[in-house]
Amino acid sequence: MNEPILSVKDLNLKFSLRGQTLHALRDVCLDVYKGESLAIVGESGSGKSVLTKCFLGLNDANGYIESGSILYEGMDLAAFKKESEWLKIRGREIAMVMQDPMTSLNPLRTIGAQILESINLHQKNLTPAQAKTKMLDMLDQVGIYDPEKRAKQYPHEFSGGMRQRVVIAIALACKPKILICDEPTTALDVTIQAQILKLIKTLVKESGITAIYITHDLGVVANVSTRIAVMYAGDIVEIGTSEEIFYDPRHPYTWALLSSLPQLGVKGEKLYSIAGTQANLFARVEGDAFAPRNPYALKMDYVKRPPYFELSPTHKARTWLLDARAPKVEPPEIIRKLSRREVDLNG
Amino acid sequence: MAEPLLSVKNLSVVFGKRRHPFVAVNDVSFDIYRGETFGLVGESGSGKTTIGRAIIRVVPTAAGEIIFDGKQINNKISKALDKEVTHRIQMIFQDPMASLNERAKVDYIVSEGVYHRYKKPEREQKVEQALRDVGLLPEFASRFPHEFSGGQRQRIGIARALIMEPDFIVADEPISALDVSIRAQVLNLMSELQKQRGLTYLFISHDLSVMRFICDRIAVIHKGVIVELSDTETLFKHPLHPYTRALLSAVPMPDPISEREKVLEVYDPGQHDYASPENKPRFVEIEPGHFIHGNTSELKKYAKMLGKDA
Ligand SMILES: Nc1ncnc2c1ncn2[C@@H]1O[C@H](COP(=O)(O)OP(=O)(O)OP(=O)(O)O)[C@@H](O)[C@H]1O
Ligand SMILES: Nc1ncnc2c1ncn2[C@@H]1O[C@H](COP(=O)(O)OP(=O)(O)OP(=O)(O)O)[C@@H](O)[C@H]1O
Ligand SMILES: [Mg+2]
Ligand SMILES: [Mg+2]
Repeated sequence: MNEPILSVKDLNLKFSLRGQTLHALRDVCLDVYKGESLAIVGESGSGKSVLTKCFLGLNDANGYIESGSILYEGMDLAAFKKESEWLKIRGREIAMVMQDPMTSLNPLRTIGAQILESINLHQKNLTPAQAKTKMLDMLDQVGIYDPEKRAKQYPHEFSGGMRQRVVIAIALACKPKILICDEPTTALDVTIQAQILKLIKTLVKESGITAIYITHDLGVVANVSTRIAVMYAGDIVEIGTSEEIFYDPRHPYTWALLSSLPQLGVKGEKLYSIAGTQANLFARVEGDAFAPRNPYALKMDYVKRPPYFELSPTHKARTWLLDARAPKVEPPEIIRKLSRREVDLNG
Repeated sequence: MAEPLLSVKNLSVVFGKRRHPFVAVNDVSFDIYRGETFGLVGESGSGKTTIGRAIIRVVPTAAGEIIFDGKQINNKISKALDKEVTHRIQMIFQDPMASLNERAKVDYIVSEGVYHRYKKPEREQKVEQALRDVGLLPEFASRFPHEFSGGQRQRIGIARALIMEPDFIVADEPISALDVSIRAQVLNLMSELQKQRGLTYLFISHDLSVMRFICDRIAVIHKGVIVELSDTETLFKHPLHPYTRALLSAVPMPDPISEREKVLEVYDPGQHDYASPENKPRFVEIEPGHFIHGNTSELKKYAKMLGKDA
């Protein structure tokens, strides 16, 4: 693989909350390579959004980076202090499509005006007419019918999915180097989702954009990503190519995550779901954070945090199961079925 | 079959000014039976949320009737019925950020609807139970919504509906903001609550893989019109309408190789020829329990696809 465009090293981020401290990112290491499509998956609250917001200085004011670095183009983003430093990065270099479309749109301005603003900000040499044509093109590109009419409307006149597509149009208008899509398509129906993913994929290919997708939907991940990072409790517990994660997952949390997909469920039976509650990040995490919910946990998992075990140059996982001394554990049947590629929608 | 709990008859909802009306929901009819999970699936902007909002009475209806437990609940109704309906029908909202009061703490948000129903220690217990029911820690009760991740906020919205002990829930994309593990929990929870309390759901989603798992029957809506309605297995095994077929072909599968080889069926609404009066489409029961929207020649074709002569 080529050089990383962005490199995260031993990143620790904490939130202070009424006298308590929440350890949201725990020693995260991650290299993002130029032109790749990296997906970050993991349970709600595992730190996916917080991690990527670090690349844009967008975390809430009560959050602070305690240690670690984020290298981008010779700069350490983790050391940024001033808004003025971030303004050079945000939108222009790294752009983000947020999870919640309503919060990233101004309810008082028309959709057209909001896209125009972004186009004008980043392509200053366009005439008003050119900018307008571009704006209508962008709306059309993200699948909004009748863009002339729609551009004059306000966010509340759009459905949830249409608002999300507008937000995507705005981010793309900036022509960023890294595009972060935080749950870009959860609000969209599958046909539009397929269109948007194709659109983002094309842009990634043609303009060499590096894409980072954050999503809950492993089906979506299978479609768009070349590499997948699995997060649990503020840490990346497994990372590998798309094939490695789907056909040869090694961390019990990855097994659990894949097993709970409704595509693998049987009607009338309970869907597999992970027992227990999420790790409490207010308290110090001992050993492997997933251990209390892990049916395959070893004694060691409660005592000492596992290191990364390397499975291939592209694949590694943090679980003591991979230690030479550990007993041999077979993944659950449903996972083996997935590796044999025996899942189908009507099966 | 038994009496429907909710009956929607020829419902239309129109937005906009009189000079530029926009028909968001167009002559839609369906019944939802007590204890079932009825799915509504369709593309973004097709009118799913609007139908849900018409049922909880926050969007006025332009035509048609909504009948709940034998009584009409759209248009003007008595105060007593309004109060009854407000308790018995709850909605879980699509947009967790926009639907939660940002300045209130979680315990207030969750207990708001039952604030006067229970006194303090009992109310706290109910909040605690509701939070546990949706997989959140009871300690979260004293936090504000912005301190939660997107998925956690959605679960607060579900707890808030559950605590009302409704018998009909409009669940508008209740799990699309949730990660798969919590998604599985919430789906299992919804099924369990349904068994225990005899709940009835209108389940709105764009994700057919989830709907196949949870819904007894599914209606497919496109641009405000229901194009196909049937029991779930029939819809998956014998989809008739080209839009239904397109939706099914696009369902993402957790398999990178098949995803890469996947062929999407594209739906072109222009393929229907509904212009002349004799080609006007109808919504008919083409086989028992299986409804389809089409004109005479399309209906013939659909019947043939089912191996029948029309
Ligand atoms: N401003 C804040 N103050 C305190 N805690 C916060 C704040 N913002 C986020 N957190 C906490 O940080 C952790 C990680 O949150 P994050 O939003 O990154 O989760 P996520 O993985 O993106 O989840 P989701 O899939 O639900 O969006 C969570 O435990 C969350 O409660
Ligand atoms: N208050 C409103 N004023 C004007 N138009 C509206 C209003 N609410 C919804 N609409 C329009 O009605 C149509 C249906 O919207 P609705 O929110 O019901 O779609 P949906 O099927 O729920 O879509 P999604 O899957 O994206 O949530 C859309 O074209 C939308 O723009
Ligand atoms: Mg998030
Ligand atoms: Mg909606």
